[in-house]
Amino acid sequence: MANNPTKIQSAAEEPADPSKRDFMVLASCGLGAVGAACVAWPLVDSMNPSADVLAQSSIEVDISSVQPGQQKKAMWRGKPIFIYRRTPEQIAEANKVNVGELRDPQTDIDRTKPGKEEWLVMVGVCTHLGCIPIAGEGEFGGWFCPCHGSQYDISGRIRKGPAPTNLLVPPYAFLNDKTIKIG
Amino acid sequence: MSNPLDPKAPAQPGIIGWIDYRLPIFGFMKGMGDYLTPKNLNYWWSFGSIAGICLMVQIITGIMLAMHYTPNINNAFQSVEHIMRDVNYGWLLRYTHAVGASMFFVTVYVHMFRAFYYGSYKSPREILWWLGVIIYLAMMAAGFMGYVLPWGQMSLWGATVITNFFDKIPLIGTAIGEWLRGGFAVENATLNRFYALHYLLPFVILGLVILHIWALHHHGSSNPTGVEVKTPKDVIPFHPYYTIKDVFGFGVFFIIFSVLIFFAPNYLGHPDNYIPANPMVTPAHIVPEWYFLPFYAILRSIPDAFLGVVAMFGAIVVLFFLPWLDTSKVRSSSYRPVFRFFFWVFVIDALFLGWLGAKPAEGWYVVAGRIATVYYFFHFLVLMPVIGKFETPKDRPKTIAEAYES
Amino acid sequence: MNPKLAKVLVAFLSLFLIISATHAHKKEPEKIQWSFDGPTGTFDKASIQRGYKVYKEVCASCHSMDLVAFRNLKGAGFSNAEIKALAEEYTYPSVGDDGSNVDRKGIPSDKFKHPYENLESAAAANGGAVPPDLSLMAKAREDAPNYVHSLLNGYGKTTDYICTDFNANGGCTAYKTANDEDRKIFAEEQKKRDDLIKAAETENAELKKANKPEKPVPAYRNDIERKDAVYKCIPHSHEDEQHPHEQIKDEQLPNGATNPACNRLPDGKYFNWYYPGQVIAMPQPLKEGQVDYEDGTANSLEQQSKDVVNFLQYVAEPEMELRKRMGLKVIIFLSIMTVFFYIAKVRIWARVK
Repeated sequence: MANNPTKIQSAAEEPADPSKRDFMVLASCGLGAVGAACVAWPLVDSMNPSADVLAQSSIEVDISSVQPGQQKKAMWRGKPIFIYRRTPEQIAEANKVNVGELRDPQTDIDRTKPGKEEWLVMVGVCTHLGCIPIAGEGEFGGWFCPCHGSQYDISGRIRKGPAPTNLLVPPYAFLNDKTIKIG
Repeated sequence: MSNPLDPKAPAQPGIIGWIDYRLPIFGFMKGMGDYLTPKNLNYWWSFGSIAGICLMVQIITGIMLAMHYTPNINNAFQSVEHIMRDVNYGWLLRYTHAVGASMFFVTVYVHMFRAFYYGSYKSPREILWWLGVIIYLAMMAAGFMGYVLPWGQMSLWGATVITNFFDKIPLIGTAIGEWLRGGFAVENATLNRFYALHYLLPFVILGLVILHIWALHHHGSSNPTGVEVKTPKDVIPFHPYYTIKDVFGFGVFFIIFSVLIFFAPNYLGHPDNYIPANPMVTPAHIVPEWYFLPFYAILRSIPDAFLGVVAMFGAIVVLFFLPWLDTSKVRSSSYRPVFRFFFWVFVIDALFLGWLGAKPAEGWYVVAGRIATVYYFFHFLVLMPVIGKFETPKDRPKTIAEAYES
Repeated sequence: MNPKLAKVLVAFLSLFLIISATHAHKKEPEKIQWSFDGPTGTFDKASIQRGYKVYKEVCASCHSMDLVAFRNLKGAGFSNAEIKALAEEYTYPSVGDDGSNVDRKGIPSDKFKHPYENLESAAAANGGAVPPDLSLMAKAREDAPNYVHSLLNGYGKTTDYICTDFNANGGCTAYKTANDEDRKIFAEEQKKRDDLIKAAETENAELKKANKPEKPVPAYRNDIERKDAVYKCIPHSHEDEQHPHEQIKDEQLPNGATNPACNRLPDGKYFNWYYPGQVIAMPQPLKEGQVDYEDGTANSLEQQSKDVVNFLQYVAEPEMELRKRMGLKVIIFLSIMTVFFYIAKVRIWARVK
C-alpha cells in the first residue's frame, strides 16, 4: 500500500464548478453532523443515573426511637448517614469551641436546624479518603476515622488528622417531630 | 507492508503530515478513497457498506446495553425491563439493537442474493465469497445467542431446541450437548456463556469483515455486466462517487430502520418472549426469529431428527461450493436468460421456506415443506451445474465503458 | 389470466380455506379502536387512572405486577401526593433497628405488592395455575389489547345436560338439558350418597382398629350419583349457546358406559370464547357495576374492561408517547437529509463520463 501521489486515471473529471458542488455536499454533511450529535446524546445519557436510582435520591427516616446520646444510621445515595441526637451537655460543649481555630470554620448552629439543635445529620464518610468514622471514639467526643486518624468533634467538625473539611451535612428537613427527609 | 529500508516520502507540514509520517493512517484512508471501482455499479452494490453500518450499530448499542444487563437467570428478564423502563433512552437502545439484528440479516440476505444473481462468487473471488459465508454463520450464532439473553419463553425454548440438535449426533451427542449447555438443560451456565460469546462474536465478525474487504480490494469489485475491469475508462475513484452514493443509501436504510424502531418495534419479534422463561411450560408453538425460518423449515422436513440437522447445516454448507457448482463461464444473470428465470424461482422457494418455517408442522405444510426443501438442494446441486453447461448466454459487452455508454 | 394458473390458484385458495375452517373453534378477538393505536396514538390518561382502580380492586388480589412501581403512575397523570398516598396503603417487610422483622409503609419507589408469598401458594390458591404477572401482558399476547378486552367480555354459558336413561352397566344412554331444579336434586342425591360413603368408611376404620372384618363400601351405582353427573358442554357457536339441543348424541366408552358427545368443561374451570382451547382457569373477574369510578364514568363491564386494558397498555409501554413523537421527528429529519444526499449524489455523478 505505497503512497502514490500521482493522479489516478479514471472515467471521472474534476469538478467543473467547485463552489456549487461544495454547497450541497456541505449542507448534507452539516445535516449528517447534526444527526450524529442527536444519535450520540442518547448513548451518552444512558450512562447517567437511571430513573430507579434517581427515585432513591431522597429518603424519609423515622427518628422517633433515637435517644439522646444515640446514633441512628441510614443509607442515602449509597452512603451512610449519621443521625446523632446530642445531649444538652454535648451541645454546650460544641458551642464552647473557638470557631476561629478550626481548620474548616463552622459554628454548631450552622450545622443544625433551628429549634432542633439536638439533631446532627451528617454524611458518615470521612472527607479525607472516604472511610466511615466510628462514633464515640477519639479525643473530641465525636467521631474517629480508623484509616488515617482523622478526629471529628461532637459537631462533626474536623479537629485533628488529615481530613480537610468537616463531615458533610446533606440537604435535609424535618417533616414532623418524628421524621426527617434527606435529599 | 513496507520495509525499514524502503525510502519514505518526507513528512508533510502540519499535524496530519506529522502523524502520517509515523503511522500512514491518512495515506491509507486516501488510498481507500482512491480505490478504483467500476463506474456502472447499481444500488444492489450498496448493501455491503450498509451491512458494515449494521455491524457498527449493533456493536455500539450492544456495548451500551451491556452496561445495564445481568446475565443471570434470576435477573436477566428484569434487567432488560430495567433497561426499557428506567435507563435513560434504554428503550431506544433495546429496540434499536433488536430491530437492528433483523435489519442486519435483511441487508446480508439482499447482499448474498446480489452475489447469486451477478455471479460475484466466481473466480477470482471465491475466498471473498467464503469469508462472506463464514461471516453469515457467525452472524447466525451471534443472533441466536443474543435472542437467548432476555430470558423469555422463546429464549429458553429456542435455546433448548437448538442445543438439543447436538444431542442427536450419534454416540457422542449427549456429551457434546452437555458440554455446550454446561448442564443437563439450558440453565444459568448456558445463559452466562452465551452472553460472553455474544459479546465476543461481533468482534470476530469485524475481523472477518476486514479480511473480506481486503480480499475484495485485491481484485476489485465485480459489476452488473460481470465483465472485468480492463481500462481506466471503466473505473472511477471510490471517493467521492461511491461515498456519496452509499451515504444516500444509508439515509434510506435509516428511514426504514426508524419506522420499525419507533412505530413497530415488536413487529418482527414474538409476544411469547415477553413472558419470563418457565422450564415447566412449553409455548404452544416454538418459532425461531424470522431470519432462521427457512432453515427451520428444512430441518422439520426431514422425518429423522439427526438427518434433519444434517440437512439444515447442509443447506448452508452447500453455499461454500457455489463457485464450482455454477459451471457457467458467464458471471452476470443479465446475460443468462435461463438461469435468471430459475434465480427468481429460487427466491420464491426461499421465501416460501421462510413462510413455512413459521407454520405448525401439520397438514399440507409438511408436504409443502418437503417439496420446497428438495427444490432448494435441486437448485444448487442439479440446476446450477446443468444450466451452466447447456445455456446459450446473450452477448456480453466488450468493456464496462461500452456498456455504460449504451 | 392463464387458465392453468387460475386452476392452480383456485385449488390453493380452497385448500387454504379448508385449513382455516378446521380452526373454527378459535374465536378472533373483536378489533376496536384504541387511543394508543397508530403512529399518532396517545394515552387516555383518565381511562388509565380508572383502569388502575380496576386493577387494584379486582385483579391485584391474584395477579402480580412486579415490574411496575408506584412512581410509574406519574405518566398516567397521578400527582406526587396521590402516588405517595397510594404507596402508603401497602406495607412492605423491613428489618427493625433491633433486627426483628417489621412492616414499613410503602414509598413511591416500591414496586406493586405481590399478592402471594411465593409461586407455590399462588398456584395452590388458583386451581394449580399461577395467575400470570400483568406488567407486560399488553405485549405478551398476539394483538393483546383486543384479546384481553374480548376475553374479559367473553365468558359464555355452557349447556348443562343430565342423564335420563341408564344401561345395565350404569352407563348413561340418554340426556336432556338440565335446569336449576335438576341440579338441586342431583346435589341433594350426591350429598346423601357422599354421607353414606363417609359413614361406611368411618365405620370400617373403627372395625379395622378392632380387628373385625370390614363391611363393603357402597359405590356409585349410576351416573346420577357420580360427582360429574351434570355434563357441562361448551357450545360451538352463539347460536348453539342460545338454543341448545334438548338431546345430544352420546359416545361409547370402552367399559360400555357412555358420555355426552361434546366438548366438556372440566371441574373447576370456566368457559371463555377467546381463550385458546376455550377452557380457562380464571372465573369471570369483572362484572357489571363492580368498581365504582370517582370521576362518575358509568361502570359497565365494557367500560371497566376498556379502562383496565388502557392501564395494562400503559404499564407495558410507558415510553410509547415519547417514542412515537421522537419517531416522527427522526423520520422527518432523515427524509430531509436523505433528499439532500440524493441531490449531492446526482451533482457529483454528473462528472462521470
